[in-house]
Amino acid sequence: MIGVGQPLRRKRTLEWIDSDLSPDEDSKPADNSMDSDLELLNVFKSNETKPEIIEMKDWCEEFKPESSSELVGNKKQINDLNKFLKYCLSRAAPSILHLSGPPGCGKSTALRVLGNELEMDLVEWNSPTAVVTNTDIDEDDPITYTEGQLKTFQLFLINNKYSSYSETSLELHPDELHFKFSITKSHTAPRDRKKLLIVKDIPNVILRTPSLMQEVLRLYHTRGRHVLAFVVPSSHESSDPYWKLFSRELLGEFGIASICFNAVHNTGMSKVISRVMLQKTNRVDDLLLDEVLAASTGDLRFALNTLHFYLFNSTNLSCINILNKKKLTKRVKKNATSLSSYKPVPPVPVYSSIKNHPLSSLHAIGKVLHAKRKPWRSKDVPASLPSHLSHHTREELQYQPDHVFETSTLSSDLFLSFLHCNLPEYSIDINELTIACNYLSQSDILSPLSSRLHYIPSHYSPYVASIGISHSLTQCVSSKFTINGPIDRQIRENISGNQSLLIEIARETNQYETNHIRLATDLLSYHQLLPNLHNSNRLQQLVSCYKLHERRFISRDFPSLIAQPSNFSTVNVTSPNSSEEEDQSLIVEDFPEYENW
Amino acid sequence: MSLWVDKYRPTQLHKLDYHHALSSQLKRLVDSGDFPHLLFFGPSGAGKKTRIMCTLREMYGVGVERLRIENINIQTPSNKKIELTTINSNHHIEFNPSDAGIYDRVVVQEVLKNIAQMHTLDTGSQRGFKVVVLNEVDKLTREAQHSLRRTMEKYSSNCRLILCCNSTGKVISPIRSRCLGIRVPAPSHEEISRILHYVCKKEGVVLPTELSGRIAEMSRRNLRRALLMVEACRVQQHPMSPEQSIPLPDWEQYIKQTADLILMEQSPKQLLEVRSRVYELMAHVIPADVIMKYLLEELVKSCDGSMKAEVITAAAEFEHRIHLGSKPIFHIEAFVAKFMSMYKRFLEEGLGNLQDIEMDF
Repeated sequence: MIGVGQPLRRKRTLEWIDSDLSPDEDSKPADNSMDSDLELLNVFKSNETKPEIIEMKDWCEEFKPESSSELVGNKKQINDLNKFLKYCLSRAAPSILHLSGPPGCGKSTALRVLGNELEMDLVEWNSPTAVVTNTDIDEDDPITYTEGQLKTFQLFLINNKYSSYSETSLELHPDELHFKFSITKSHTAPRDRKKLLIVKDIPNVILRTPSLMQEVLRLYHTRGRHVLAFVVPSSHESSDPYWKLFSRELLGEFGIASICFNAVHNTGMSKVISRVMLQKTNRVDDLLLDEVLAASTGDLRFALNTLHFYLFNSTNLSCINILNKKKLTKRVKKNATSLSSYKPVPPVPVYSSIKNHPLSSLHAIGKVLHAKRKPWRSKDVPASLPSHLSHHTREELQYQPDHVFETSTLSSDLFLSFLHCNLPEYSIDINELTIACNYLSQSDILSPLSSRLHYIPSHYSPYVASIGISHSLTQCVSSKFTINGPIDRQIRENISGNQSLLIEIARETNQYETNHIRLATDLLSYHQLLPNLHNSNRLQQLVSCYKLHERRFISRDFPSLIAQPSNFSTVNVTSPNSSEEEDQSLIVEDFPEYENW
Repeated sequence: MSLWVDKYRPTQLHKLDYHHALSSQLKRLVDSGDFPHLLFFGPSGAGKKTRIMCTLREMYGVGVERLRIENINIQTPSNKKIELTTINSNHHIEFNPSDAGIYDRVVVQEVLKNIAQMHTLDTGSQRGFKVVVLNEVDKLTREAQHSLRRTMEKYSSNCRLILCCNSTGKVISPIRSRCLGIRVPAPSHEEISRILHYVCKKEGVVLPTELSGRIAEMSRRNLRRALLMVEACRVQQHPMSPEQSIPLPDWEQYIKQTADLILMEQSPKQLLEVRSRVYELMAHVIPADVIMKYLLEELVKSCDGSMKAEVITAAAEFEHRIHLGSKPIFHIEAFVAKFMSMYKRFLEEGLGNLQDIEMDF
């Protein structure tokens, strides 16, 4: 780096990682891209007294490597990456890179460090959180909503073919596009510096329809000029959306270089952790080191955050700890175990390869159920509706309701289930709830229709639900911000479990009655008669499994026949995330246990 | 030890206790040597299945009663394996295609094809065709019904279908027109109590006439249920007394309690409570439309004239939606919510009227 650039870069990089946590209000909408680890930290922070913590810097940032020699692990991959970037610099054509690896293994860090060393401009894409609107009410401008995410994304890619941001603004006034890149402006930089466009957070639209990706990449291929890097957390689930997105064919078609990072090995981890510990507390606590290592499974970022949290939590104790070591170790253990239980088990199922996806989805649900409206502006009370429709008058919504579904990664089916599950808790008036329920029921009819009739698009049903619900609920429950996960799937599994149970009973009773529904409604509902049915022990067992008369909602007495509750339930509840959204915070609770119902 | 329902099920056409005209018709049909595809329909517990088995027995002799249960594995075009339980005899095969859920179309096609292509080697057997009994045709998806229609035509030379369903309303008309429809009405109260007395006599139990009358009434003219009730009464109290309570099926009691909950309080919180109860019922394989029906019956009891019509209209609409949609709970809940708001309004109006009257005084 040039000498002048040194302080500048410091500032820039700071901005780079942490734009969401900076006090700057403008960067607020970026919270979608916030890493869940940071959110995790936020949870911890919010438990503590606030002012102190804000002074403390995130350790991930404080100890981030500044040069390639400081990078830990993945030596070979980093080498490859370096070569690739150098090669890109040497040619004019656009190049695309696909960088994958488990979370916290240093993908972005490596990219940043190398990019800086090679004197490239780093530009990061932040998906706009669906709805960024003009916030000042006094303005006479009608509220302009954001373009679809796809459009914005394309603009991001194309506009950056210009070497400086200011030029793009000539063509497209940034105010018109209410989205932001955390762009690193460097006025001193010469015009011909290559840019490194980093996309960590692929717009949901593209995730949902992977075919759009090709379109976007084709566009970039013809009009881009810089290096485009997709930084993507990897998982080996076939259902993982990213895995589908970057298929082998796609990589081949566009000549995308693919580099896959591994989790950081333990020696590298312990090296970093002990360095940090040494610097912070002047001593290395081996026990803590081990605990942190065990809890973080190769996720360096998580390890540092854990360490930070732990050490911060016990700074007072650390003075005493030499005197009273035993007490401390006890505490350490307790803490560490509780932490390791916090550590989201490497997220397995459906859509959660990015830890914060569920969160954005929950935000979407929250937005529907807790629709925020703009207060009337005195000047322009809209033309009043005819008297027979006057009860439909509502204040204008702050969000475009059909954009809400777009921001969530949930399938439309799951989206509906989520809404359904939480709806009654968000309403206080039964009449409003009736209307909302009616909309839900209508949207459920639409979804099978859309598979049959081509003129009903498949996203129609979640739209009907979200618009209908936000329209019908006018009185907000002010204190209620919990979102529960739907138990739909579990119910379905229970039904099928019970069905197979009944079919087996039918088989065992050896009558010519195979109709399990009739068994359920007639035969087995007379528990007085059940003793008469017991021809065999097996049957007795089966029947006692079914036991309707005990009235235990989805009893756990279905040891072998009932499918285990799907691992889905863990998806959205990986950790108690919390996020402040102006006045609203969604606390993801553990799924309700059935006994509580 | 088997239940009375099974023990005293008649197996021959001339032993059937009621609908004698129907029995003799079936007899004549069998005697004529061949018969078209049949579609038995009627309320549950009316004796459709019994009549089907009697007809088969008449046709093929005792061989039909030697039943064996088989599991067939069928592979769908999308490589999903489905296991289906069938009940076979040498002469017929019976299965429940709606068990296969959305794959019912494949099941219907495959099973019928297999059977129709298997020619009986035994030339000595009386009939040149096999019989396939399909249960719950009305639960089949539309696609399955259409494919059934084609298969019926294709294999009509060596296989006959006997379809069985509760209502023909949900059977597509091409199928209805290809079958001889046979309606089996529910037995009357008198017929039921006569059969109950007959069974009790055989069992050596004294059944008070009053009790049998009450049971017949409570069974909603469902003979199977009536027999189960009698047996349950007998287990409950050995010498049966005329005024003893008749046990209801437990899920019916549960729905009753649910209806009481709805009438007690109309609030979103109560809706959540109701939801968990509906979920429980559904988890125990009580079909959604049955839940809806019984719930409606309970709720309507506490409505006045004009509101009754409103409630039933709403129920009809949401019941229809259950069949259109994929998530029955949404529609049941929407109905409950609708009822709650209607009922609340009704109560408030009632209260208002009361106050008016008081004011007048």
